[in-house]
Order: sequence, then structure tokens, then C-alpha cells
Amino acid sequence: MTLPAISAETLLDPPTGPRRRILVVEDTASVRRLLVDVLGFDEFDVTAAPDGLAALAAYPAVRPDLVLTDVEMPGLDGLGLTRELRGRGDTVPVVVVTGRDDPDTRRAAAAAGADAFLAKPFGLVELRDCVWGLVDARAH
Amino acid sequence: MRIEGVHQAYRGGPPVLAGVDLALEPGAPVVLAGGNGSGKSTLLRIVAGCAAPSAGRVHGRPRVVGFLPDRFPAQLRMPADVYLRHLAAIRRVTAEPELLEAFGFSGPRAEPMARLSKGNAQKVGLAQALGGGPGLVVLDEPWAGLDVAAAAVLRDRLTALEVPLLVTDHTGRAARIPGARHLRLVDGRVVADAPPAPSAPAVGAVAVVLRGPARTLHGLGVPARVEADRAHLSVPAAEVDALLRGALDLGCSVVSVTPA
Repeated sequence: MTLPAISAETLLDPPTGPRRRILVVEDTASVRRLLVDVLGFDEFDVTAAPDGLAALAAYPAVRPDLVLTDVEMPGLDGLGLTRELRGRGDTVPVVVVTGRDDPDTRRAAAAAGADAFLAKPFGLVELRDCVWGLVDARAH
Repeated sequence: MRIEGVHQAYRGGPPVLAGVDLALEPGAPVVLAGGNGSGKSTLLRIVAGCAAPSAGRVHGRPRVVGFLPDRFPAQLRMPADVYLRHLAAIRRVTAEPELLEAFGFSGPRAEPMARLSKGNAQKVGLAQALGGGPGLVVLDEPWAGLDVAAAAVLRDRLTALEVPLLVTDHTGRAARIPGARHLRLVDGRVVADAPPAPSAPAVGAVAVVLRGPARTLHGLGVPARVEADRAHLSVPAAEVDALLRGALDLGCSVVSVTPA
């Protein structure tokens, strides 16, 4: 997938138009709060869930423009969540983040239907550029 | 803490690191030199735990590592205070925003970090890396963009560190850290390096005229008379090299340097 070019300058100004909604799924509270704030300062409406089951419960009310999910979580993990969404025919962009940066995990994420893969520790700018790229690509 | 036989290669290319062995101890800071692309930043990321080596081991890395990467995420819209609080929470330490004052941070704390000058952004990065009592400090070009006053504060802080320190530095300022071991990455391996030769003692004062944006000129960290886009300074000769390096890092140009 080719992401649109984004420059730091264009990202400085709040985007125009409706605010996009992001569903963040992460079981580590400190990381979850950081992700919510990083994306919140970028003018996204962010909803957070601590695991895949909570994400599915919140999903109908949130109707996210993008899902950002950890892989390793109790209950329903991030790959299970992605498979569930794809099984419902949902094409929402899914970004998978994980501490396991190995070919098997990357293949499993792609097979589950994820659109992008970020290995921890990832850079916050890298994360934000990835999210913006996918949201913009979907909008156009 | 020990680094043993660390290799790193990317996508079948030649190895960036080809068997690095290194011991890091309190009181024996390591200053790592090497050309562009020599693998310094790669090695620092591996030592800090931000990247896994293709082969080899890192033994005894403490739980809390203070790491200043070569590319600090200063383009974020998140304000500096919020950023420091989050990073401290993730590392499970107490944030030390007062470190910003110690480095003479003069930027807006409540505005996006993307609006900070290069020097102020670097100070946020340093506050992030040095705060919270890290058990290991890994700094990639920490003097880049710093004004003279902040550079001296940094040198004093690193001198007083009681934990292992690994630092890269192209400005020559790390040579002033007492007890530093100077190493160089050559062909993916670490070899002993001679410290930068101290320049002859300089005496007297030097008059310097710099040109640059007024905001930058006011933030040099030394008293200056600023007129339009020019700053007129008088500094001890022994400090002129550091001043000029700092000014160039900040994007200023040097108009003249003459004996005062």
C-alpha cells in the first residue's frame, strides 16, 4: 500500500472537516493513555479499550475511522479482533502494534487482515504518520 | 553491563555492526566516534533496548534506560510537559520537568512541540532522557543544537552521573568529561580512539558577530547585543569555538570573529 506523502508542516495545522474517530485497543494503561493523547492532540476523537472484547463492545457506538490495536492482550487479542472485524465484512483500517517484530507475527497480522504493522518500540511520529496516511487514504 | 558479539545487518546488506564487544561501567563514560553511516546510532539503539541485534547479546541492561535518539520526535503537536509526563509513566518513573529549567528551556510548554526551536526541542529530549533516575544513559549527539550555557550544564550533569554512560558527539564537548574512554566504530567493530587534541590555551576576549533570526540570537545563552538580524558578543577566547559550534548548530551564520 502506498501512503500519501505527509510533511510535518501540514500536520502542524489542525485538519479541516469532521474529526476522525480512532479506537485504541491496548491493555497497558500508561501506553494507552499516551496513544490517546498523541492522537487527541492531532484532533482525532479517540476512544480507548483495554482488550479486544471491550473494543467490540464499544465498536457500534464509536464507529471508528481506524482501529489501532496491540496484539498481546488478555481475552480477545489484537489479531483475533482484526479477524472478527474482517469476518463481519468491515473494511475499517487496522493498525497492529506489537513487541514481537518477527516475520511470523508480520505474516499473521497480514493474514488476519491488518493494514499496517508497527513494531514496538515505535516512534510517535511514525505512529502518527501511519494513522494519518491510512485515514486520508480511506477518505479519498 | 556488557555488550557481547553484537552484529547487525539489514536485508542481506553488508553488516553495519560486525561483532561489537563493549563494557559499560559507572564512572567510565564511553564516547563513541565514527563517520556517517558507521553504525553509531544503530549500536546506541541496541544498547538502549530500542532495537534487537541480528546476533549477540546485551547483558545487565537496567530497567530504566535514559535514551536520547538521533531523531527526537519534536514534530509532535503534543506539548513538552505532557510528553515528559507520558514518557515517565511508561518508564514507571517520576517525571522531572524541572530539568527543562536547568537547561534554560525558553519555549512555550503548553504549545505543540512542533513549534519549538531546535535547541529547545533538544532540551525536552534531554529532560526525557536524564529524568527519573535512569540506571543507564545513552545519548546520541546530545550537544546538537544546544546553546553555550545549556552545553555547559549538560557537561556538568554527565560528569556527575553515577551510572554507565554511552554518548556520541561530533562537537568535541564530550572530551571534557573527566575519565571518558574514547572509542571509534570502524568497519562495524569498536576500536580505541584518541581523544580530540586539546587546542592551545587561548587567552583574552574575542568579538563575534553572528547573523540569524532574532529569536535564535536572543536564545544563544550568552549576553549579546542584538540589532535586527545580527548579534554582537564578546566571549573569552577559550569559549569561542564552543560558541561558534553552537551558533552554527542553531542555524546562525558567522559574520566576523576578531580580537576584542
